[in-house]
Formats: sequence, structure tokens, C-alpha cells
Amino acid sequence: MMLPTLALVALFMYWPAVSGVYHSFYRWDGDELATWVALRNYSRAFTDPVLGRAFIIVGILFVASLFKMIPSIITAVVIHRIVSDKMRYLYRLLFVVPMVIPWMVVLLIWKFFYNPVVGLLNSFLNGTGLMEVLVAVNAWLVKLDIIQTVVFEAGRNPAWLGDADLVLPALIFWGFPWIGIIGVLIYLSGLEKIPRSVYECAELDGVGWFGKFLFIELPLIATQVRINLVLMIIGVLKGYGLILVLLGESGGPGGAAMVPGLYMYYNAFVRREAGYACAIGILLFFVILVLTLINNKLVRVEK
Amino acid sequence: MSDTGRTWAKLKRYPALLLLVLVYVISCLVVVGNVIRGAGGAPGEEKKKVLRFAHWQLEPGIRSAMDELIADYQEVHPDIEVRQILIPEEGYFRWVNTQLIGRTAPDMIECGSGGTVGWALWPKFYARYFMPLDRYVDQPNPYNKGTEFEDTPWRKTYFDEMEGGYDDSLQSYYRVPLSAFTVRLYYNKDMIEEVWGPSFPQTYEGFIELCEELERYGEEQGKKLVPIAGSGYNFRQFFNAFRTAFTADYQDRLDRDFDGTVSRAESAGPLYSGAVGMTEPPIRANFELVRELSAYFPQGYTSLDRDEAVFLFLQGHSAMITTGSWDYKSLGVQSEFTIGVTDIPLPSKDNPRYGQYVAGPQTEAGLEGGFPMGITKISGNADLALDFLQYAASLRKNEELNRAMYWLPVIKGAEPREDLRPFAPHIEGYSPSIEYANPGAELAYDQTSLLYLSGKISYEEFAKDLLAAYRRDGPVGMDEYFKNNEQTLDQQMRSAALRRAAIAGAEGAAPVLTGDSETQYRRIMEAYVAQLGTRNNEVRIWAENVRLLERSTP
Amino acid sequence: MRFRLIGIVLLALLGATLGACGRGAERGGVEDVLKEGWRAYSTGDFDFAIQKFESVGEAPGATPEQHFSALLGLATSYHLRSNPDLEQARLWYERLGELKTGDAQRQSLLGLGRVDLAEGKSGAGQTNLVRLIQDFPDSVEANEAVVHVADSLFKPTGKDSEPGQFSLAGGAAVERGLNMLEERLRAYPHNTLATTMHLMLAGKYIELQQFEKAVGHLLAAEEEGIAGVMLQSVTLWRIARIADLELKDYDLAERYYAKYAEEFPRTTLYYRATKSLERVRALKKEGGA
Repeated sequence: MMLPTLALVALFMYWPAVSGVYHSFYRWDGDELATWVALRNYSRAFTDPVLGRAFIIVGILFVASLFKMIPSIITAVVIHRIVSDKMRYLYRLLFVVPMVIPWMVVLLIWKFFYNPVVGLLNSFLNGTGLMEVLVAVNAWLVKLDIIQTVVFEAGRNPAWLGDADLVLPALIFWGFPWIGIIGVLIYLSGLEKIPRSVYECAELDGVGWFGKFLFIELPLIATQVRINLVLMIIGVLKGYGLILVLLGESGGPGGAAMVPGLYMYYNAFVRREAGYACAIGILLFFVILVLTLINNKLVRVEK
Repeated sequence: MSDTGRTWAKLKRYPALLLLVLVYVISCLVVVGNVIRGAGGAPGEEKKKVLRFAHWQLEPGIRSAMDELIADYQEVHPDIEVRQILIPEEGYFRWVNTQLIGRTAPDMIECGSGGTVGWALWPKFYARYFMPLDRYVDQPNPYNKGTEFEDTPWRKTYFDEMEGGYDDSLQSYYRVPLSAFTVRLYYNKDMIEEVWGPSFPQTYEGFIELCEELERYGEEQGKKLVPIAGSGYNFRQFFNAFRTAFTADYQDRLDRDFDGTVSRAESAGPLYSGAVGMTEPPIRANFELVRELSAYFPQGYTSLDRDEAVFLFLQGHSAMITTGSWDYKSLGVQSEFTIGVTDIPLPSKDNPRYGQYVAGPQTEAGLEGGFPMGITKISGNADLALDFLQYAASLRKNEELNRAMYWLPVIKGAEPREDLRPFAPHIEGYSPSIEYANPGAELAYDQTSLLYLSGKISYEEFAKDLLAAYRRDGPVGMDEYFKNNEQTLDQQMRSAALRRAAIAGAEGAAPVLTGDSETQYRRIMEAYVAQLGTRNNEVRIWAENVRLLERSTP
Repeated sequence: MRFRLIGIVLLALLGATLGACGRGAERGGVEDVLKEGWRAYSTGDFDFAIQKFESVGEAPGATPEQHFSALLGLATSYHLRSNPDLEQARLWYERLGELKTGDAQRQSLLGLGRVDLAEGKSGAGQTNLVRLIQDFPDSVEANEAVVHVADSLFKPTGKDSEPGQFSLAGGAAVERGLNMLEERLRAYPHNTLATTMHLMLAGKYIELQQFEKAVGHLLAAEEEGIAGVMLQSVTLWRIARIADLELKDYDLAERYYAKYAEEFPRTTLYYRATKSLERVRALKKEGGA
């Protein structure tokens, strides 16, 4: 019974991976032409400054994503603690309904949000006077020589996706308030397994709301946290679709958002150096593997 | 329960298996059906021959115009049925790729989509899957009988001698363009007249003054008004116009093989060694002008895409936009103001800063054009497909077709719609003579130039970073460039070998070919040695510049 | 019982599918197989082409001409596909050479010579090709052999270990190549590839900056007749340009700029040609005055 499924998995998941490893040792144009070059693609990858910088950029996004996991956990806990079953269901529903919106539509809405002329973000900042605050802070930091660049200038709307200094903050801010619905549901499934008796005992012992979170809920959803962490590591490190749509194949001005996944895409489909792209992919795989192993060691699951 | 009922009840317990069996049965039937019907499509009604052509132009005007053309053609040829296959642009390139590899492609395919990926792959497609048209382009088009072009070679009836149908890398004609596209500056006529006056400035100096007036107007009105709706997509149209104007004279210096074009390698070598410096006045002027102009684009315009720019223009947040003649109808329909069209104004000779570097405008000859149709080798009706394309590219029919589509005709003497006259291609002009995105350094150029144009870095920093990128990435990039070009030579050798086999009388070789083999063999070999010469020249230029750099580096 | 029946039906369907797909191979006989092989070759489906040509080798009753076509098809497919199998190509070219016909011998020598060159054995390759030229001096293949020998002598070589580094062909090798082409044209001035050879010589002389000779060959190519339209235009342009910028032969430049503008009035270079024509005419006037 499993044979057809295994065959399909082998064909569509394992075979491309094996082909990727194989072609990483070749000069390959993605079509037919393939010449054996041994480890040249790998030695090139290790000395490629663009790839090195790409890993730094994705590292920054990764660290930011770690913090961006927190709102989902808090949301799940808040929903979980709602006493009324009906209200808990209603809130879950309200969070889940936006899932029907295609991801591409969300992306385009955010692109419009960041539009320097008519976008909502600049309109909000100008309308609330926050833009002046940002201009003042920028000027003050420049005066103190803490930073050199002026990104917020009086009379000019910042270009969130067109200014090399603002691209990364814009990407980090993307998705605000960072409540990933899948994450919330995964955490909720973990939280619902916690018996009420544990909470009752905690209350008897005088544990407050934060104590319950820290000593009961968080340890008991560690499995879910670990799952989400692994998914996040994989997603952030290999992801580039968002950047490709928002900023194009060169990763924005100055390559401010050129991440390894996008650089892999660029080499495969723009430069047509698919062999080199495969080598980048294999290196990325090992980085993800190492991070996953570290994650598994550090995030202990309480039985 | 009957036997059948019991069997069904048992099978229902394995829904995945049932689904698999169902899909398998359907697949078998489809495959058998296809094989029986034969390649190239379903038989037509009443035993008509069927011609199929595929394109991605889903706009209603295009489809209906093609339907009219088809109806007329079918009246002339009642034994032929022509069918349009419409594929959305987003998936078109992948669809074509699959159809060609699977040998189920229609008789005619619109060429040239697929963005950056497609740009690299189409020459390979032409070589493998498309019929070269060289032997036909020098014969008169039979459908021009009774017109002034009755005895004129087909290619000479085109506004650009059918240069748009020629593939440089393969040195052959593969495409039959049916329309022309040109790029112009569109403007909000009502707003410009209110702010500036009835006549649009014809020089760059006047244009800048207009932009400043528009900014003042916006401030006075309390409106969000950006003079030009620039974006990452269309700012390159400005850039290319100015690049040509400023660097046309580099041809004398860089075109070492005197073929009339400066190849990427002829440009890359000197830029790599510094023999041509990014700080040379015309090159610097090119970039400085575009940076100056981009002050009138939206902030961070490089991250805006085409739709965002169009939105700004149509909503009245921008007074001008550059785009092609393909957008004329849709912008006209969507706008609530009158649209004017004009050329991108160049600096005049009197301009104290830029005038001395301006050679002239960009030529619009040799544009790949719109609706370029290729005939697939897989087609069982190649001669009929050619006939249909000759019909569509005849003087009368091409005019009718393009007037219906709101596009520009490609045949000399064919009149476009009155309101499209400003888009008529300008033959007189120059082609660009320098390419800044050298092999290997394309990414660095894209990234660094955007930093400069957005005002983040100075020109000196830009030139320094770019030179560093040329030197760091150039050797590997040029290596790849030369290796990739070898593929074209290989393809020509394949074609030559086939022709030679036919000449030698190898059975089965001649029937798969069209045209006289000896003539085609000669043509292929001539193109082959021309490519060899180009290769040798380019390698020499590169090697010389490498030595030059080595000698000048302490 | 019912399941057995269902199983038999499914197997029969599979058999029908395979049979329908396989029908093409048995249709028509050897001539059609060869046609399918060459058609597959022409669309780059080399594996299928090889399969077809191999089946002719095994087909009983194939005529010698059909064997020739199949062997040539096999050798060419292995030789010229995207990832060439030069060993197999050599094998089939050698088998081709065992056929005693002139066509087979010539194709075999040409193929073997080119395979040697592709393997980097330039000495052996040139020897094979020169033998072809000597044994079959009037043939189309001999003309092509001259072109390939010349190319092997002109070709720069890259270094895999040092991307971007190239060694240009040495003076003696280039001289040999040039002489070979010139000799061939002297002996057979109007051979099938005469224009090709003139263009090749012109290209090399341009590279060597021997512009008089280059223009001589471009003019000869034009007179011989150039088959490709765009190449005609490039040749006219080249003559005009070299005459103008290098030889300072303004009469020749004027003639050829005017010819270019007249014969290719709507092309990319047309405007440059007219501007250059004006300039050259002004220079001539100055010179005359």
C-alpha cells in the first residue's frame, strides 16, 4: 500500500536532492551540458564574498525570527487561558479565517504598505507625527557619530524597500504582529494537553500568571516549540520567495537582502550556473542540519 | 448483497488504490488516444488540415483581432483550420518548454517570453526546435501580389528589414515578427497643460524645468505628486536611451572586429583592465544624468514594480511614465485624463554639462518586436504554417491586424492607427556601444548601480566598487561566457553535419530538411566561421586586457 | 475471480498503451526508421536517434546505402550531442570507414579528425584531416577539413585551473593555418566553401591587424557571394569601416558606406552608415582641396 507513496516521494523529493548533490560536482547549465569539475564549485562557494555576506544577512533575519516566535506563543497562551469555551473558539476562528487569503496577496498588500508615495506605513508615520520623531532621532544619532547614514529626512518619505539601510528592517517588520497562525495552532494543541489539575495545584501554591507561563506552559509545550524552531530554521535559511517578490532577483539595492536561497536561485536561473547553485544548496543543507542538531540539543523536551 | 456489491464494498476500503487505478486507466486511454490521433493535434472537422499557434496575449483586443485574421485566412483556404492556443504569460515559458520537450508543440509558437531565464534559453530552443527561415526571407511574400511589394524580398518589406526576426547568436532568421513595440514617454496632458502649457518640452533642459514646476504644483495643491512614475522596471528605459546617446561613439574604440556592434567581451576587457574607465566623462555623464533625473522619481523607485508605477500615474500621483506602445490602449481605457505621448528628451548640444557627449538618439531598428512567431520543426504542416505567417505579415493583412490590436504594424507602408503615430519606430539613431554589466559582474553591477542611483554612494565609490567587482568576478564570468558561446558553435556544427549527410546522400537525412542543402550548408558554415572569428577576437581582447592589467599592477 | 478479471483488464490496457507507443517503430520499414532517426537528431533527441540508427544496423535486408546512413547517424549523434561520447563516436566513424564507398571514407576521415581535435590530439586530428584533403581533394569534406585544421591552428586555449586565463595561438601555427586556407583557395577558388574561407581569412587578418589582406578577402567573399543576408550586411559594413578607419581609403569607404545604406536602409547600422558617408565625403573633399 505504501509503495505508490514511497515511489512518488522517491521520485519527487529524493531524486531531485540526489541530482542536486551529483550536479554540484559538475559545471552544469541546468539543461544537458555537464562537465566534471570535482570540488571547484565548493571551493568557489567558500571564497565567494557575496555568499558570505548572504549568510550574514540570513543570520540577522534568523535572529530576528527567533524573537518573532514570541508573539505566537503569547497569543496561544492568552487564547488558551480564556475561560469561556465559546470565546476561545471564536478567537481561534478569528485567527484562522485570514489563512484563506493566498500568501501572494498578503505579500502584495505588504508591498503596497511599504510604497513610499501612497503606502500606509508612511501615511501613518506622517499622520501621527512619528516621522518627525524618526527624523529627529536619525539626526541626533548622526550628530553623535553613532551612525553615518541619513534614512529619515524631513520632507522626504523613506523608501522602505528602495533604501539599502531600510530593507532589512522592513523585512524584519514584515508580517507584524508576527502571529503565525500555524504556530499558534501548534502551540494550542500542546497547551490543551496540559491537565487542569496542574493549574489548580499551581494556584494553590500561589503561582502567578507569569509563573504559570514560565514553569508550566512553556516547559510543557517545548516539543511544539522545538518543532516550530526547526520549521523556522529551515524556512528562514532556505527561503527567498518573499525577497524575490518584494525586491527582485538581485536582492534589492546594494544586495541588502541577498540571502543564500536567492543567491542560489540567481546562479541557477539567471547566470545559468546550476552546478554552482547546487553546491550552494548543499552547503545550505549542512548549515540547516547543524542548526537543527543544536536546536535539538538545546531545547529539551520535558517528559 | 450481489457479487458486484461485495466487490465494490471491498474496493471501497482502499480509496487510495482506487484513485490510483482510476488515474492509471485515464492515463492509458489518453496516451493511446494521442498516439492514434498522431502528433500535432486533433484532426479538424471535415478532414481539414489543422494549424495551431500558441501565444500569451490574453488581452481581449488581441484575441479577437487574431480571430478576424484567421477567419479571413480560412476564407482563402477553406481546407485549413487555424486554432489559437492562449496561455497566460506567467506560465507560458514553462508550457512552451514542456511542449517542445514532449514533442507536442503546436505548429507556431510566439517566441521570447520567460524573463531572464527565457532570454538565455530561447536561442537553444530556436536551434533545436524551430525551423530556420533564411531560405524564405529573400523570396517575395506571395500575399503581397498586387501591391508595391509584389517582387520585393519578404525581409525587405519589413520596417527594419526583418532584423527583429534574426537571431545573432545563431546567425539565422527564426522569427516572423507580426507587430512592433516602441517605448515612449506618456504624460498626463491635462495636468501638463495646466502646469506648463500646451507644448511638451523637447529637450532635457526643458524637461527638468517641467519636473520642477510639477513639484511646486504638487506642494501648492497639497498633493502627493511625483513628476515621473519611475520604477525598477521602467527606469531602465530612461537609462538605455541615455546610455546609447552618451556612449555611441565608443564603437570606434571598442568594436575591434568591425562588425558594427560592441559585444560584451569587447566591452568587458577594457573595463576590466581600466583601458576604459568608469570615470571617463561620457560614462560618468551617463550615470550622473540618470541620478539627477531620478530625483524626480518616487523615493526608492528601484523597489517599485511596473504595476505600482502605473498605479501612481493613473491615480494622478505622477504626471509622466515611460512604457511601451503595448500599454497604450489599456492606459487609455483606465485613465480619467487625456494621455499624451512623446519621445524621451535628450540633452541638447548646448547643454553645458552633457551636450558635448550626446551623439544622438537610439535606433529602433532591429527590435525583437511583438508577436514574433516561430515555426516548430515538430510541425507536420510547416509549409502551411509559413503560409499563414506570410499572410499575417503581408502589407494589407498586417495593417488590418495591427489596427485591430492597437499595435504597430511591421510592414513598410502599413498605416498604424492615428493615435499610435507617435510610436512609429525611429530608424535613425545609434545602438549602445558599451555594456556595463560584464559577464560575472552582472549582479554586482545591478546592486551597486542602484546604490549610486538612489544617492547612497558617490560616483567615485560606485566606480571603485564596480571596478573591484569586474576584477574579482570577471575572470570566472568570462570563462563561463566563452564556454557558453561554444554551445552555439556546437549547434551550428550539428546543423552542418546534417546538411552534409544529406549532400552525401545519407538516406533519411534529406526528407527531414527544407531548402537546398548545399546552399544551407554554405550559409551555416559561413555563420560558423563568423562566430569563430568573433570568439577568437573576443578571447584576444580579453587576454590582452588581462596582460595589460598584470603589467600595470605593481 | 472478479479481482483476477480486473487485473487482466488493467494488464491488457498496459499492453495496448505500450503497443500504441511502440507502433511507430515498426511502421514503414528501414527508410522510415532512418527518417525518424535523422528527425530526432535534428531536434536534439540524440538518445532516440541513436536507438533508431542502432536498430537499422540489426535490421535484416538493409541496403548498403541504409547502413551508411545508419553508421553516419550513429557516429554523428555520439560526436555532436550535448555531452559527446567521443569514444563511441570514434568507434562508429571507424566502422563507417570500413565501408568502401567514397562518401563513407570521406565522412569517416572528417569525423575521426574532428574527434581527435575534440580530444585535444591536435597532431593526430590534423593528420587525419590532411589525409582527407590529399585523398579526396575535390570533395566538400576536404573543404570543411581545411576549415577545421585552420580553426585548430587559430584557436586559443583556456586553462581549467585558472579561469579567465588564455593562451593565444602562436605565430607559426597561425601562419600555417593562413597558408592552408590561402593555398586551398588558390587551388580551388570557387569551391563550395570558398566564401567561408575568405571570411575566415578576413577575420584572422582583422585580428592580426593586417587590414589590407582582410579587406581583400572580404571583397573576394562579397564577389563569391555570401549566402546569409545579415552576414552580407556585416561584410559591407566591415569593408567600409576598415577602409575608413584603418586604411584611410576614402574612395572604398565611400563606395561601401553608400552600398550599405542602399542595400540595408532600415537596419540598426543604417544611420551610422549615412553619418559616416557624410564624414568620409567631407574628408575626401578636404583631401582634394
